[in-house]
Amino acid sequence: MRNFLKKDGLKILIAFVLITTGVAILNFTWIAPKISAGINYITAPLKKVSGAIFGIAERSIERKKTAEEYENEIAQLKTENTKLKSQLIDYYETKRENAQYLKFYDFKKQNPGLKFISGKVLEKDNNDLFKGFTLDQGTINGVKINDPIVTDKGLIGRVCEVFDSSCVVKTILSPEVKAGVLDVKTGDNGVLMGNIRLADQNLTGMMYLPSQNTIEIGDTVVTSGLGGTYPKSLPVGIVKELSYDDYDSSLFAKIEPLADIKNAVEVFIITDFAERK
Amino acid sequence: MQYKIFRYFAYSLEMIIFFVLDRTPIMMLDFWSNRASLLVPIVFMIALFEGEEVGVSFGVFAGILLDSSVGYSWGFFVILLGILGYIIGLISRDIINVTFLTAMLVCAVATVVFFIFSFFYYNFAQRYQNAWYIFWRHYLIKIAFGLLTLPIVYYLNRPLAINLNEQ
Repeated sequence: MRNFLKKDGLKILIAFVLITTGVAILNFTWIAPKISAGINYITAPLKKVSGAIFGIAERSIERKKTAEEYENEIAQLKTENTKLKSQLIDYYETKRENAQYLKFYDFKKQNPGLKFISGKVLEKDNNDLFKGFTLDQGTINGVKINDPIVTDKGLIGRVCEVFDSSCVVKTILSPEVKAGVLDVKTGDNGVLMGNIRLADQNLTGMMYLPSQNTIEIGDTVVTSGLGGTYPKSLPVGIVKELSYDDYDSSLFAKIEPLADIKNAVEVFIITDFAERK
Repeated sequence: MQYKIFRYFAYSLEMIIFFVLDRTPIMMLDFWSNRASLLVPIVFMIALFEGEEVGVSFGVFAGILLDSSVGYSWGFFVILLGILGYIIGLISRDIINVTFLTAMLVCAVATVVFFIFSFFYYNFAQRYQNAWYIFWRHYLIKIAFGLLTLPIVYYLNRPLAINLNEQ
């Protein structure tokens, strides 16, 4: 026993136990974190340097892609790009359709008594000086001759020819399209009828005004419903100027249509309404 | 025979394409709401290169296309372009040698005649007011556009007439 206690190994063992116990006790005191922070403070720069060296080494030994891999990656990206472009086109088309459905819904809400369908402009006649066009709806969709054509802004014209799946529209700029109209503010009646000089300025005329009229520039003109060709109170245009006709000196008003006739793309065809005869 | 079929097919396709392009909204540039139309000069050039029989056939075809489009009574363009196609074909066979200069001269006269007849039929006859205003403001511009497009149409159709030819 005495010999065992005298051996150096035992002394080392005891010293180790004491140190370990001391360190364990230190963990529960405020000194340990300070010691850890101190060690980190000293070793952090060394860690950064070694990390940088290791990163450079990693990049330099990283395997470079082959030309074939790059080509495959490019082909894959191109396919993905084409797919994304196609989705983008679908998105814009859907967005446009939604906007049109919204207009359709708003128009329906404002005019509950009208029965109508939407139509798209197929072609514009190069030879029609009054900006007539063809729509993609015909007799199979319930379209008839003289059906009014409108947008959410106002009256555009009427159907003058109809086929199975298309119809030809003459606009309110044309002298062949006449409509009974009235000034919303004053109640003065007139007949909407265009001519080429007005049509070139994108205007139409409100003819046969009573001599005692009180129409003013800026007044809104709507359909009167007289004659049964057009529903009542459809917006037509704004009075731009009062003038005298060159041929018979009668007073007429130049009307600027509210609807954009020249650039019409999607319109509504009114297939039935209450005042129709 | 095979070359002839290819040639006539190419002419027909050309006419249909330009007919559709003429009527597509916002496709062609316009001036004071008047747009260039290539269909009529094409008919004249075909008649010039091919003769009176082919000229009248393609004139009738172009007339059918134009009459079937918006708002016209059937027959006017068929008759007018048929006659003009025949006359131009006859002139190219019997009177002139077809060169750039003679082609431009003959087709220019035909273009002017075409638009003047169109004007008289559709505006003067219908007693529109301001008929003369329509003429100088619209039809003169249409004539100018028609004349400007003649060289383009000549160089478009000449290769077809020369290369797709048995001779």
